[in-house]
Amino acid sequence: MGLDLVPLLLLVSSVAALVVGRYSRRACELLAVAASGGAAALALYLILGGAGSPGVLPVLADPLSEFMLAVVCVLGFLIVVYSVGYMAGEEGFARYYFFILLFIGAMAGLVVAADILLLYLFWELVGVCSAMLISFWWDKPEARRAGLKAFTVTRVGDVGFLAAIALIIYSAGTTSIPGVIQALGADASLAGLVGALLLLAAAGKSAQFPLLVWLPDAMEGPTSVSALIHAATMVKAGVYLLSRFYPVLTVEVRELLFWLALATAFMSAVSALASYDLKRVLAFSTINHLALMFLALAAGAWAAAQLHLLSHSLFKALLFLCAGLIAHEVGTRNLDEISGLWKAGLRLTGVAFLVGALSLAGVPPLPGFFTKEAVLEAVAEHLVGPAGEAVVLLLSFLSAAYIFRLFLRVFAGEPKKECEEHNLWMRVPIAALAVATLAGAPLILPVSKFLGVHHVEARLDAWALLGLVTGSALAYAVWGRGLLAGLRAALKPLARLADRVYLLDDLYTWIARQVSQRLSYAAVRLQQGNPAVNTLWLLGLVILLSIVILAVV
Amino acid sequence: MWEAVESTYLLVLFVGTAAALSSRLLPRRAASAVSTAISAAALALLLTMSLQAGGLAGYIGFVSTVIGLAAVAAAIDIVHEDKALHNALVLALSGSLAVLAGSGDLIRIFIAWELMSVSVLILVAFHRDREAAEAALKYLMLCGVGSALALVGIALVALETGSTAVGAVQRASMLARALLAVGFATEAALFPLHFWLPDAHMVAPSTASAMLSGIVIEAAAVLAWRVAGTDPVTSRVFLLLAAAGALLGNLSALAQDDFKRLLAYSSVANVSYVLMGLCSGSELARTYAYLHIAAHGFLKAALFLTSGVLLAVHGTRSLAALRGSAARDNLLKLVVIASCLGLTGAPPLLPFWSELFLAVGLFGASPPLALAFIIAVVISFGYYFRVLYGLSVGAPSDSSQKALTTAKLTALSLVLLSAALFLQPRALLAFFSLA
Repeated sequence: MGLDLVPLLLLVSSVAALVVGRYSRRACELLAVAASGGAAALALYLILGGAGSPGVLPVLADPLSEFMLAVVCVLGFLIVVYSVGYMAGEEGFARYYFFILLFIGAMAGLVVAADILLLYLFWELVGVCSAMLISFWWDKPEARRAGLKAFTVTRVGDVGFLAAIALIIYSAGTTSIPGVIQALGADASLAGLVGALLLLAAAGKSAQFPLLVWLPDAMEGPTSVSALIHAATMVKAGVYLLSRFYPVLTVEVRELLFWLALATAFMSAVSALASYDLKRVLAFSTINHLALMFLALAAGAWAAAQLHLLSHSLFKALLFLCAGLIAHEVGTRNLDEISGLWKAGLRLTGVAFLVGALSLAGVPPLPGFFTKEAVLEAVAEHLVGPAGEAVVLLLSFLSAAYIFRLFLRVFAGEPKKECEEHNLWMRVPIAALAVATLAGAPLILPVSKFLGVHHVEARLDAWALLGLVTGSALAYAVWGRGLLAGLRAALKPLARLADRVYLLDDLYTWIARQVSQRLSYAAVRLQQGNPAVNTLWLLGLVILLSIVILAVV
Repeated sequence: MWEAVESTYLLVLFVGTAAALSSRLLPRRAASAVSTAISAAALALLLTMSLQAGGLAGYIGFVSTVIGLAAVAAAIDIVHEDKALHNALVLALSGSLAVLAGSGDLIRIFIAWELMSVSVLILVAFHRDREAAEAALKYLMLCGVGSALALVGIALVALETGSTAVGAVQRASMLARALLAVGFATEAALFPLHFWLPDAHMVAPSTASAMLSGIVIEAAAVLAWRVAGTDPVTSRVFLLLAAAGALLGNLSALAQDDFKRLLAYSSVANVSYVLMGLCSGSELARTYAYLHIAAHGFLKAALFLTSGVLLAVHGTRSLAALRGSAARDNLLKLVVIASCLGLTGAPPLLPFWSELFLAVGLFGASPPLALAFIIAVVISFGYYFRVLYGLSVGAPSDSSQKALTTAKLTALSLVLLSAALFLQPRALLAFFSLA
């Protein structure tokens, strides 16, 4: 039994879910829960018991792959359980479970693939699942648009992947990942080029500047999908890709990565502070934390990136599941229409959300504190001196401010109506993730040992602490006590701008629309209905070709 | 080997076509049944021979007979007029294509070429209305001149070298080669000779459109490349024109509301991908250009059959009017979603491999052309998703109860075949010794 059993099991059960879904809803749900639970158990068993002989697909059984596989399968299982409650009453459930199982299978395949072509195959497959699940409620035009946008923008990034594959095939002569890394290690200039191209692919998949526009829109999908695909797993594929090819990233590529990620981190943090949509705030925060992981990779802290990936997956999946329950109960995601949910009765959700928020903001002793601290430390060291300290201060200030703003806006104040959290299918995964986030800190030591790195020691960085305290204080003052209302009103236009990704989105859409409309108009105009004119084109081509030939001969 | 089976192949083709045609003498009902049986049997025989023959000709024969079988099967449900004539023409059409790719003799090739052209012409004019007549006239004008040019080319080759073997083309003058290449490229819808195609593929019966878009123009492209590939200058010119055609085809498809016209423009783009791969000079790109013929052919045929089903049920080809027409029909919805996603180059369907390695191969030959190819592919997402969403979302305007199960299952089998071949693309190429 090899690790490839896990993706294969899930891929087969996805097809089974499609078939079973035609007959019985319960059976389809049961199959999905059983398949994802079985996959999670199998993954843990194979990892802890040591993977056996290789199976059908070429797999890498190293700590990074096994670690990612465990993250993907366990979170996948929890979120499938949550889906049973969240998607109850939806019509297209067979389609939903088909794509969600296919997604978990493809993602599991992506992280264990030992061949770059296989990796690319699963990379595209998760993209398809993501697009189809974003547009799951395809009666809504926004959902359809968001699905197409996610598909197109990530495929633009994949141009880099394709070019990298071409370079690898032509110069390294092998597509096995260890072989590729070895071959690129011997040729620095080639490694630089391949690294830069892979960086483009990673930026597309992980929504980094300049390709970050699709992720906020992806929130049109069901929240369980946002939690699994657009927070916990698929968007981490870019981080995984660069972690996998970390040995071949040259200094120049890492420097490029550093500045792109830094720009993304600030842009997304401000947008998260400005957005008026519950899920968009979380989406911007996801972009923010992905940028932190890339910063860690760029600054040479490989382990910090992996550990932050783990803690982020836990707290962000938790926050999204809470957000899903809230949207489910309140019926809106607009922050202006949500308030006082604590008093309205969402106690479990409130506590769970707070746990997630504390971990996100980096409050000790939650896991987010340790991992974020490690990332920020690496960033500060990379930038040396006051610049590094300023970046650390600002980053922790912003993340504390945006997440506590969100918490206060949702849970503080007076309720508009009573809410209840009765659905067991939704409560259990939330509780499980909350416990995992609360008690996650002791996990970090064994995980870093498993990954074969020295544990990054937890030092309390004064600047990070200062940022955390001022950020939380500001959030409390503004959104808890209602101070500085005038300033808020004055900043509103700027906030709208930040919420729209600084018009980057509008710019891309405008360019795409203009170019495609004009060119397609021109192309259609070229089409002549007159057979005589068409024949003239043919004779023209013959004449042209004759001239070319005469000139050449 | 192709040479070994060619005579038997032609014999089966002619006898089968003649038998299918003569079944028209029977009463209408019997004619339909008998011609369907004869064509299916003859196609199955040709399929077996193609599999035996192997090589490029066998491969083209394989794809064309599979799509031909699908067309004959689907015609049971969606062709209502003269089914016997339709089946005979489909048989003649799918049988002639392997000869184009395999035969070593220019005269035989030209005969097969004319057989193909005549079949296409009649199929385009099949509905005998104004629209069909116009499309047939456009086809006749452009491809007639193209055939004439090719014939002059053949004559020149024969005069200059004293031989009508395909191998002799290399020794012939550049003019002869250019005439041959341009003549054949007209049928292959190489930009700017593609103007006949959207009309023709739009008005032909959907089963015939599946053949035309799925394999006929690709087979013509292979033939054009067989003569143009011998000449570096023509090859280079074709490569650039194909890149332009890929972009232009997809851009034009974006603006279409007519389902079949949209698919036809998308075929212009796809045959251009094939030509780009063939003419790029890269071994890898050429191999996967071959694969793209099957990859695109099966799924595009499935979509055309779907359009035929929708036309039969709702009586329209307009996407706006067809909104939600596949929403209540799980079978049809599956076909639409899978084929549209597959044609964007997404796994798990065959175009994933062909587009991946076409891009890789083109990067090896010329990075700007590879970029043009990828941009063309990205442009195509717009209309594939429009079709996908348009047909699967919303409520159908009328809920008439026509089952048309055979046609739907035929389309589904093409999709499943593509998914099965996805698992072993190299085995497919190796089977026909193309890789």
